[in-house]
Amino acid sequence: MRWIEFVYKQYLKSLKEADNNIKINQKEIKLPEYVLENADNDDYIKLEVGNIYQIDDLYYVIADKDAYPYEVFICSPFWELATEEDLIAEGKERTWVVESIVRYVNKRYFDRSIFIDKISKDDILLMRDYIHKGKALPSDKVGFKTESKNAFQRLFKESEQRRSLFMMPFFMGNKIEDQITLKPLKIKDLPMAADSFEPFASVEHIEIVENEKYITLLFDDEFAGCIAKVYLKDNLIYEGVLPKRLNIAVKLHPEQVKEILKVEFI
Amino acid sequence: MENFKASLIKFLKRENLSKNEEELLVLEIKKIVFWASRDPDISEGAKDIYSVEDLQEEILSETFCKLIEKRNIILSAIDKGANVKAYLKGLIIHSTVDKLRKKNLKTVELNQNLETEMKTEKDKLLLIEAEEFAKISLNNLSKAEREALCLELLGKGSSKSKAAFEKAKSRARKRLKNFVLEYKFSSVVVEIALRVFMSELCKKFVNIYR
Repeated sequence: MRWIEFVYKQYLKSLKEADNNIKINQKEIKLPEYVLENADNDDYIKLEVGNIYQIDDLYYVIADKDAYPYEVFICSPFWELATEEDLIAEGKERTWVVESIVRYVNKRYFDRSIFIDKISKDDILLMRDYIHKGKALPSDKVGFKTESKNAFQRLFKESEQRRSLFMMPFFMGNKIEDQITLKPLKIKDLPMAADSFEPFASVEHIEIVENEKYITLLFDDEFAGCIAKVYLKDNLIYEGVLPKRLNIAVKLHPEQVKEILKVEFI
Repeated sequence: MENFKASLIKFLKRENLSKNEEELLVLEIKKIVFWASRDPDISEGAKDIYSVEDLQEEILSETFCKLIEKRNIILSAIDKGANVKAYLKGLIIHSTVDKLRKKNLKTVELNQNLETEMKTEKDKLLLIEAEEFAKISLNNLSKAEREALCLELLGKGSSKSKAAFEKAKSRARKRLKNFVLEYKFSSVVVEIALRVFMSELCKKFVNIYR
């Protein structure tokens, strides 16, 4: 397989939820027996141009800290997928692609972000000049020019643009339906319904509630409006913009649904 | 998830973990490592350097090292509600890709004696891509097309009639164009492929052919 195709596939994998059903040999489970005393310094506390942060599965670099919301560029460690309009920049820890995608980060998002790495202010300046003044990026620091619409680099860029839309200041989001009820579905290999379960369960961002006719998935503000695929034990049951309430006609208890529920963002 | 987060926080704060907490912490991180590396593409990419088990072991150790090294950052982020599972997943996937990247990009550097001309990571990627394009092209062209293309690249004439030679060249060029689109290559990759790899491969091909 071509290296660039491998990188693109790994990028797609990085957007999926890690499979939690993997079996591990129980005998091997113990903490590694070493103690490292070195810890990071406090650099991450200072908000600086060039700092790279991660929010969920998305990375961004601070481009302007004086404006609020902070101006940021979307970036990624999958630098091989840079287009001719993106900058390849060396970070302290790894190489990055700084994408020509401008977004804005408010305090709410910034607080939920984790400091990852740092690139030079000069590289940020190059990208700012390109975005705001139309100055060309240095040809030795950009990705390859691609002709095919389906080139891995273009598919990557489109995905990054879509995934980071929520960071636009006036992003109205996708139209969020209040409630969607799915038709009864034939779902393979579901566990048998049991009697001794609570009528309620929850996972991060989702509450699972049992009522007379349905199991209802209640998505919180973070999830409702996102485009995603919803699976019950590998059976795709819904694809599209997540509503606030998704009713599923299935004879299961919330705890059982919790075990087999998977939401994959597109 | 909450139990895992609590165990992780205790670990990062260097507090003593109960056996259950320790097991849960290692198990959850191992699951992500296994998920990230149990992939035929990873096994294929790692062959000749790692067994998947060795790769998993190395990634797992590195993940714990990184967690300790970055504990202040992670603790502060958890405190503010960051998605720690996404962080771990990113850390593990990128460590895995980094390991294979080192192998793949280095191989080309060693194969080609072009370090003075092409030094950056991007250059190495360009060489990998160009080599790939040259191989795909030469493997997929017909014998006549390959011969015509090679003779043209090497600046040599053909023993065939001029018309037949031109026709074969034109067909070969058209097919190259199709490969660019079909396999989504960049034009700069094709340029390097023609300049470096195809003429090298053609030399071998023409010698064998003769």
